[in-house]
Amino acid sequence: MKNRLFCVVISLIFCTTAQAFVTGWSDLAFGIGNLTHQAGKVASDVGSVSYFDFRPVLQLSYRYEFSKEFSFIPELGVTLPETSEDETYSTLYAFMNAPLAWHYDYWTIRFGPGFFFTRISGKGGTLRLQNGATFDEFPVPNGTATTRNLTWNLGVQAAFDKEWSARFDLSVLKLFDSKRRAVNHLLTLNYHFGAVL
Amino acid sequence: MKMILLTLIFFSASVFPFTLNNGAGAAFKTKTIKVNVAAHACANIGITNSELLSIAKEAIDIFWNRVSTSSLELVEGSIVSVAGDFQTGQVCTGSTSNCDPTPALVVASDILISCNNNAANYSGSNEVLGVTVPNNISGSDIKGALVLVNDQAGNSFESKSHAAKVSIIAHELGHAIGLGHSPFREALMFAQFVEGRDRLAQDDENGATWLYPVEEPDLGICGQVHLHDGHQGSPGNMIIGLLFGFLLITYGRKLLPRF
Repeated sequence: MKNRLFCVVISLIFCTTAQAFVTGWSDLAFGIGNLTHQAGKVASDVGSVSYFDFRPVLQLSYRYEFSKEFSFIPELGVTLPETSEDETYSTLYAFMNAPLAWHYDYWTIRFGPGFFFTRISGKGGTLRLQNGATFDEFPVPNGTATTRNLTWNLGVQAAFDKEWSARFDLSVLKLFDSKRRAVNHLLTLNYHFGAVL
Repeated sequence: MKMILLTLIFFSASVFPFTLNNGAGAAFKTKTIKVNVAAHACANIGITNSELLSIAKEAIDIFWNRVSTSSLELVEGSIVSVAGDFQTGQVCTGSTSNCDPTPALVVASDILISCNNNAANYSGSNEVLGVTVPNNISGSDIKGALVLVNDQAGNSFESKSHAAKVSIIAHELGHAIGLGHSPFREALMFAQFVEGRDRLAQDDENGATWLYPVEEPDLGICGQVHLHDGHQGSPGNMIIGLLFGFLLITYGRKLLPRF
């Protein structure tokens, strides 16, 4: 009898927590925008760098409210594949972030860790290129490599109304390695569906 | 919204591939790769072995060890004594593009930079600054690679600026780690020397990333503990483990009963 009572109490606590957990999810948002990978780090031409690359990105986030001011907003994002003209080679970037957010009026500041994925894929073949005084066939990659970087992200979001918002996020790769450190930035326009659970 | 999405897809960027210097996509499998310099004196490149080693270190620091998405880690080695063949021998018995490595010049491990005055290695041209062949490959594993700097009288390397010499050695190190040439002018691995190159381009980084992908962090979960040189894992691993657990709970909520 005592055991049964114990199970009922535990189940009630569990279910109440689960119910609260489900109802805490308050806003599904879908965004489109642009991701610049390693802003200002790689050469865009000899001796110069670029702080903006055109790279379309799609993202999906869901807000879990701890309170009116604070929430947890996990999100997923993926860029459109960049493919070579003969479609034998492509690169794609994706991210999965888990930021905590602070809401004030129509502003939201978010900060937290995440993962950034780089996928480079090739179907093999060769490319004819200069090699010293002659031209040679060089092999192109055959296979897929996916890398995973831990990132630290800081972003700001401005809501235009209940449905639309704009976001700017900075994402730092290799934060504690001064040589390898790189910054991605993300600019998105978001549509908010509200709670859908 | 639909129009914006279609527009973005329409304007999706197009890319060219980087290339490799061998069909197997071979790369070093060791965690760090040493870059050594042969001890024999270089007659015509205008620098000593110590200066060549110093230039190699700069090439590592300015170019290859800066890729955030790659685990590639080159380290400065030392000046090592090698056979005289490295100074005068031909690296391949065929052409360098279809190389049959000369056994006497096979590098046992890591990367060796050596000045060399055999005209056959440079197609008889003084404009060819250097030649690199990963000449010790087992399957997809590069065991050793040889970088030869053109040390013929009248070579073009000698007259180059210090910064140019750094980028030339960095280019050759790119071949040593498994990369071929790039079609992009801004890339370090572009076939021709271009003055003013001071960093890698995206194409170079993609090559280093494909050959040496990074996977971080070590999540520190599932009961595994990794010890490096007797040091415990950092507290960051624990935080990441907790975060991972939280995400698991979040996305595993469908397992919970719903009312």
